[in-house]
Amino acid sequence: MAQAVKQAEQTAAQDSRPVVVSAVGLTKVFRDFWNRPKAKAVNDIDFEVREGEVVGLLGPNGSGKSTTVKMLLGLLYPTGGRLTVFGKSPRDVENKKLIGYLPEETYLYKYLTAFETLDFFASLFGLSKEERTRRCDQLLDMVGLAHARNRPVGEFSKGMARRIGLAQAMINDPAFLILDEPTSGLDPLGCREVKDLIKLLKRRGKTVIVTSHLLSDVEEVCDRIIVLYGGRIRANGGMEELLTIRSNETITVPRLPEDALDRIRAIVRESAPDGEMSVSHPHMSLEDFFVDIVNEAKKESLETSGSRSGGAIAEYLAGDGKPDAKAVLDSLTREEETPAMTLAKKMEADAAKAAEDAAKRKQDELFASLQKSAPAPDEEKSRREREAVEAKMSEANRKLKDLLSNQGGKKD
Amino acid sequence: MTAFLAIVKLTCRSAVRSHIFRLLLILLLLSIFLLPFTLLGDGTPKGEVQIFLQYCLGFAGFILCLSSVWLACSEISSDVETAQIHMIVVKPVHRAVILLGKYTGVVVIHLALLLIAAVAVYVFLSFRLSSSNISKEERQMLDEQVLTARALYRPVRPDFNALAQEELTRRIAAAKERGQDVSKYQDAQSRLETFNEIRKELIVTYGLVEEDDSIMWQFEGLPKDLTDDAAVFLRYTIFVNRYYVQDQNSVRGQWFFAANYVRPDDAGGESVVTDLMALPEDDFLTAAQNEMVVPIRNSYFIFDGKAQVGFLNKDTRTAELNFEEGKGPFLLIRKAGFFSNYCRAILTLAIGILSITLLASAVAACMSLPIAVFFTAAYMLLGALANYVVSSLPDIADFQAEVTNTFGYRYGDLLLNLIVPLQDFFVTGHLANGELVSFPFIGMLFVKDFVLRMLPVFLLGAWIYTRRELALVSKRG
Repeated sequence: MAQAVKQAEQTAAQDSRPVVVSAVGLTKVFRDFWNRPKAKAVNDIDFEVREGEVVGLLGPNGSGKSTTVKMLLGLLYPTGGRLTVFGKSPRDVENKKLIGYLPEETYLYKYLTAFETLDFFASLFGLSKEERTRRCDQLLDMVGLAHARNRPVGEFSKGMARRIGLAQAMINDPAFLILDEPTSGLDPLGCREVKDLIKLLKRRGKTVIVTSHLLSDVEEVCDRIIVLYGGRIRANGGMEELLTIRSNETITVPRLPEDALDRIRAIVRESAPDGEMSVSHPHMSLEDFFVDIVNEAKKESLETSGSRSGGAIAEYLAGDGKPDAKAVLDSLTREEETPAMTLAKKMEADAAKAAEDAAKRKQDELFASLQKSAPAPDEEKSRREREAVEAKMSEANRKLKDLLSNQGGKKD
Repeated sequence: MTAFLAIVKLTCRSAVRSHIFRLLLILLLLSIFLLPFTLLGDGTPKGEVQIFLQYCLGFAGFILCLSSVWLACSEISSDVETAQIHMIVVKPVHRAVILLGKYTGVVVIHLALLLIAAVAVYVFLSFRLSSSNISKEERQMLDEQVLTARALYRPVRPDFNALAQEELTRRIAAAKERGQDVSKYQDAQSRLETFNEIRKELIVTYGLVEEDDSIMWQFEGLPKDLTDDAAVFLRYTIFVNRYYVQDQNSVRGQWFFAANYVRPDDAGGESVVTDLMALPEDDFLTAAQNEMVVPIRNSYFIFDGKAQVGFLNKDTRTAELNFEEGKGPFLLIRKAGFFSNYCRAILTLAIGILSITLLASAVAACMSLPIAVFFTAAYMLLGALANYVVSSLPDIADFQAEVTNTFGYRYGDLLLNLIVPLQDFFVTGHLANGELVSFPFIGMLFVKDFVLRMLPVFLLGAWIYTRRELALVSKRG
């Protein structure tokens, strides 16, 4: 894993696109009233975001992603290190013309209508009235709120508020967009639209930073992810690089004819099926990867200033071995069995047992067929058998690869 | 500019939706339309108009000041606490512009309300005057003493230090003459103590007139080109004894005025002759403000910008009469019309609103809502109390005080230089008394209070606001 991360970082370093965000030794310490350190939210992190990249900023609660985003926006100031956005301080006012921001919660002025809200934010960019009207109408249409143009946003549902928030983030056609939980509160259709929008922005060469707890969303739209835990970067790299399991091989084939399946069933012996074949590394899901990272960090007892995942259920909730309320209720409401019911139940049970036995027999046969070459209890024997199987597997793999390369040649 | 105007507009819209603002608006309307019916004057049309002008307009101004404090604090602090400001500061608008926009929004809405209140009070006053039956004499008195704008001239204050020194020297000389021990005057501390006692006594007894005794006041800086047909008013309030709340009655006395004539002298030149012209003895109601027209021609009364007025105590029933220093006698000379004065009073109130909003905005830019409101309210209260200190400061300022007194004075002086007494802007009392709210006075208030005191505070607040980590504060909900 560490090797993959390192490799990914090297790849990122070799990228020649202009740097949009650069953080070097970025640190943020929150202090109390007496200026004593209270929490180290971000701890000496280095990362870069290049033009046109869609980067996912991931981490559990309190990992420092919101703090990092707020520092990027100039809402918080770094305690240490250097942070630049488009080569300038995040507090640079002119720079903000290039930035769009969708906060985690859309803080809107409830008394303004959807149009007025967008018009207000457009005014902050100094746009002319005609331009404001044009963009507001188009954005309202884009986020599906044209029908609610004159409704106060205070009356909006969470999803609608998210949509208007997304619209205001794009009122200036930003070159760099920061989306904090963009799909939060949206229905599946809305989520799909947001993801399509991010993909569209990517195609247009926009730089996007997305923070989300919905890992599948991040996996779908991001080129690269940065995983934070306890204020430190635990992983930083391209999605492909980070999620690939390099210790295993996967052979993917299309649906095969029966005779080819027979040959494969012979444990990839001498022949390979005709048709396209590919050899690649298996992928884990981003969710698995994320959980692994967090667990690994936990094992290292890395401190986090935010909440941690839940521990054991509180005793008073888990019960103490005494019969629980449901069991008591069941026992009180259970019907007394009559002889007729008993007979019916016995017949039912017999039928179920017969079906279960049949299934078990089938399963055993299947296991037996699969475990023809399974190691015997004898250690020496099992070692020899294992080696034989491995040799067979290697041979089969070699043949498959040859076949694959030959097919590739034929295609050409 | 578009961004600035957008923030101003947003602040105005936000303001009118505030519940407290709406409550204060109702109070404002009540102060204009209901308060006049709940206040009783002295029963005369003059008293009624004075009460109306002083309290209705004053109360309206006070409500607007409170409202501006609340709105400035809530508009600026709440935006930070609810994180709505995050949506604005991430846009290309300088934070100082955001603060200025919010300040301007609060000011604009309050100035608009002040204008509405001013128009309503003026129209209401005109309506009441035109619909009520007022005699010709009463109308004339109203026009001359209330619905006008007269410059007020105070008598020259005696140099109590010089008088005290003179008295001290006299006492030492008298003691020496009598062959008494004067060694206690040799010691600097004892001498200072005696000096202060004498001075205090002089201040306390200044304005006291014993039976068959008289007092004379000197006025300076009067207009030299005043025509004879321009009325000069003498305003005075007489009290019985030093403690004017008790034993007030009708007393007998006589006013007299110095008349100056230029006459040819024996040497062929010209010399100034001063005669005293006395009015007949009369009864005067004590503890009540009275006015009369100076009955001699201005060309005789005012000479080289100076005039003298005296009073002779002819009352045999009381021990002594008292003219409190702050209550006259004063000379009043008409300078402008009522409408002009009314507009000046409104302008002064507007400067008050501008100043207090500036303070509230500055405080709210650095603090949370409750602290900002508390701080600004405490400031206003301290300013109100400081008024009493202001009146006592000149007394302390020029006498040779002990170290503790000096320290106290310096501390008070420093405090008063930092604090703007809000009541300075409430000139409705002047308006009700027909006193001119002069442009130099308005300019002085603007420069001294707004520019020199409040503006630096606002700039400091703006400086902190631009450097604050706004995301550190968040109180959603």
